[in-house]
Amino acid sequence: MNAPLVSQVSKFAFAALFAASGAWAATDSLVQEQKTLYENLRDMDFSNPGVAINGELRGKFISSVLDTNGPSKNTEIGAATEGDFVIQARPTKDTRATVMFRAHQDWQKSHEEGISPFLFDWFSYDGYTFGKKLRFSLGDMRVAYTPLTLETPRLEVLQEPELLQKKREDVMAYRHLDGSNGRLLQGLNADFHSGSIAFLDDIAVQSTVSRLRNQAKKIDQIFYDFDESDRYMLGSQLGLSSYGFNVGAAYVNSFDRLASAENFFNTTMASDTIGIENNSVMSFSGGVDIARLMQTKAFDFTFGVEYAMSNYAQTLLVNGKDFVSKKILDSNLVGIGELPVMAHYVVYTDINSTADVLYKQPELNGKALLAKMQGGINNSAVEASMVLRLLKNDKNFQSDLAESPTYLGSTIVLNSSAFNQTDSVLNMLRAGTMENLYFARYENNPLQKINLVSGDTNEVGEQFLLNNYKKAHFIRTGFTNAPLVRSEFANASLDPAVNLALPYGFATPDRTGVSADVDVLTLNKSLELNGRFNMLNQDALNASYLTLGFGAGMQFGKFLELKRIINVNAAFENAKESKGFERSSTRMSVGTRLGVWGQLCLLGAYQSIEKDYGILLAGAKGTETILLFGPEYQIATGSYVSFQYGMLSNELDLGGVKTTLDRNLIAADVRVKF
Amino acid sequence: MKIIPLLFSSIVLSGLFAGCSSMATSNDEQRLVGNVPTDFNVAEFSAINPDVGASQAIAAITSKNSRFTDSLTKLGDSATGIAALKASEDAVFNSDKTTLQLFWVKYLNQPATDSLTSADILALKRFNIYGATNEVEFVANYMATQLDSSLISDSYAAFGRVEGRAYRYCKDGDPMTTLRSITLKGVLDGKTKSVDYTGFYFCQDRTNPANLYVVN
Repeated sequence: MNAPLVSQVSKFAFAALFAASGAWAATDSLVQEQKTLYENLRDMDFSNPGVAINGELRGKFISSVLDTNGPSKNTEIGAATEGDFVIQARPTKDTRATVMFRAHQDWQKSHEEGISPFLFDWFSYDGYTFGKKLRFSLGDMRVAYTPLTLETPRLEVLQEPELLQKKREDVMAYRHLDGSNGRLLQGLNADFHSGSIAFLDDIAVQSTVSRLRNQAKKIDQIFYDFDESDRYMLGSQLGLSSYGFNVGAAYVNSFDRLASAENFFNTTMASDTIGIENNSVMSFSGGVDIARLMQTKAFDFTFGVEYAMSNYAQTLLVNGKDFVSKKILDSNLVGIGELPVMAHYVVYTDINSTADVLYKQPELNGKALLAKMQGGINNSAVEASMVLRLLKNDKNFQSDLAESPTYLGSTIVLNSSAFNQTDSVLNMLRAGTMENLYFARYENNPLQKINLVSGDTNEVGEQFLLNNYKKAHFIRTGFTNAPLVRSEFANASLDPAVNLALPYGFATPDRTGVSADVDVLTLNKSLELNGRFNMLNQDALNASYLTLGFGAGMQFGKFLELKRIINVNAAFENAKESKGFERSSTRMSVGTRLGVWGQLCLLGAYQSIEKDYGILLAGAKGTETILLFGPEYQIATGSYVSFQYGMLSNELDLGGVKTTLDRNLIAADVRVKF
Repeated sequence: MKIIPLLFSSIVLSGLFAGCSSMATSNDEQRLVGNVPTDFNVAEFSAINPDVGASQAIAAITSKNSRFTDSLTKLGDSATGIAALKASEDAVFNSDKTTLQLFWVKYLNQPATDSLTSADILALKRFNIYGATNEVEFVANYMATQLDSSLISDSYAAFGRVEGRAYRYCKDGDPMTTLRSITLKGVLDGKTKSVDYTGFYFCQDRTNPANLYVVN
């Protein structure tokens, strides 16, 4: 359902220079071709003024039976009918207004009281104006500038089995994450391209204003996911390109608004200190298309460099209790021969208890450099691409909107009611990587005390929480589309199995080293080979990261010119942190799609992940294995029915104490695009 | 006021064990990330810098004293009468050299001395609880049970780094070559009356506590 929106991602000359290579990687299956054809047909519909309604209806079933080596046994069944609707109104050929909403009905709850609400989560008006030179987006949108200023770090699972890849797409789609590098924003974006003028190929100017996080909440609203910030972003970039050369400059500022932060002192918040964070990044980039300079089409060869400077400032807003500095004594504190200093302390006093005080923390300034060389050949025999990146990012570099990851992991997705919820280590680690990558639990539940309040109920005032049996949409997922701020980043890079070396993309602070990607497509586009390599150092922990990845995908049917689909792909990835926290992970996977008869295919996926949290969590280790297989039948273009059976096992070793979580999974779905 | 037992408030661990599914950002430990070293531990910092915790006891005593004054005023005592009462209690407090030395060394973390200056006495006077004589027990009990670890972290993040306080003991592997000194780069930075050690972290030599070394 997100396909038409991919085109909304910024396509600056220099942004394109940095865009990830190998768009065909891992997706070049027959199914993908059919899907693209189908979407092209839909796009044709959209090119005329009028109104279009489309989307997808799904019936979904998942049963997860958990068996552990302890007393716990738990069965969770999710069965629901779900509809994603996209309404597009096209007042003119060049602009469109889009509304997306979802209806969801859990089968078990279909006779419960209360209305089942729609969830509206996308409103946008976008298109072209000014003789197609100005592209605008109003409302929800995806925007990317450069890897160091504004983009979403991509989550790549090399040659992921198709069955799992589809599951991850679905999970991410709940958060409107489409796997592109566009950052989800909500505001106004204007992107102007001059086209060819005199000796210039293009002058590009882009400006963006966006709301980033929650609005200040109403006083009577008491909810677990309190967000104390009302955060905004302002950004602009300029670019010039001529004769294969291009230069650009970008500036992005994200900040909390003080006035909305003060609102939170009116509520029963547990915290009396709020961090107000301001982050700005300025970047300059330049690139050259060497192949174009050499006037050859035999190969591609581009080179680009981006240099960015960042500033991060945090101001503490302290409520009620006075944030005072006290003079204690004025001599001797720093030792003989040195200048005497006054000692200061932060204490509470009950004097002047009405004034809020702002305290500015030391600012952090950092620099980052990213150079990228990309070469490729494309002829009838082989398509190949190689990308080499050099990184040098300071410890204090901070670019929230380029770094914020979408995968957080450590959410307990399946069988959440198993185990005692108070064991924090087990609770955190039992949520495996694969559970988080491939599963989400979406429900439409009546609102009541239990799901409105979690945490400290004493402060809430339970008399306000009478059950009213309105239903609301709930999701358990390991993905987020909310940009994090620096103070939250420490919690977002835990899982050693996902992006260990560069958890926050190419803007990850404190990294120096190289990263290389190689992709080859050959044998009549039936064989695909991929290589991934990272070697990076982290100064603060004196750590070094080494990542190696190999992937291969073969379409035997296509190669042997059979009518039958026989696709097999496999991958091996290893990531290791030396010194530092000494974490490591190894992933192996094999996936297949076999055409059986007519529109009936058999899909299978096997993947194992071994991870070691190192000294970060006292040698905790995890081994996860998933095996899923089952048939898929295509009823019509865009309509499928599929069934899978499999096992997901997660063995945890917490300092010698072993916990085994074995799950039997049965999944089925029917999906109809319209 | 949120009171967190000192032993459990290591920044690293609580940061890690906080669930990621919630996007709540009000957690004190999360807020401090980036402003204190990753291995900052409130208990160890407090052991090295007892005056930071003691400042909370002083604040509590100040608050008690102000309520004491308020209640005497409500009972009808005159301002001059209250001032005279305080002066007489101060005189008793100031004459108890043993207690003064205890506060001076144990809680203000100063080297023992026989000759406290009038400025020193002024600093010590803030431990005096009016209308009571249990200052030593009160402070000891307060330090053991009432300390707010988030204030201690705040003190280090807001002032302790500038003041060049040691945040942990030196351990094997620390080079222990560069002593804390105003000649370190950027500490004086053109200023003549104040220092700024923000660029450095320090550890304290266990065997010779006067020596603070730069931590890499």
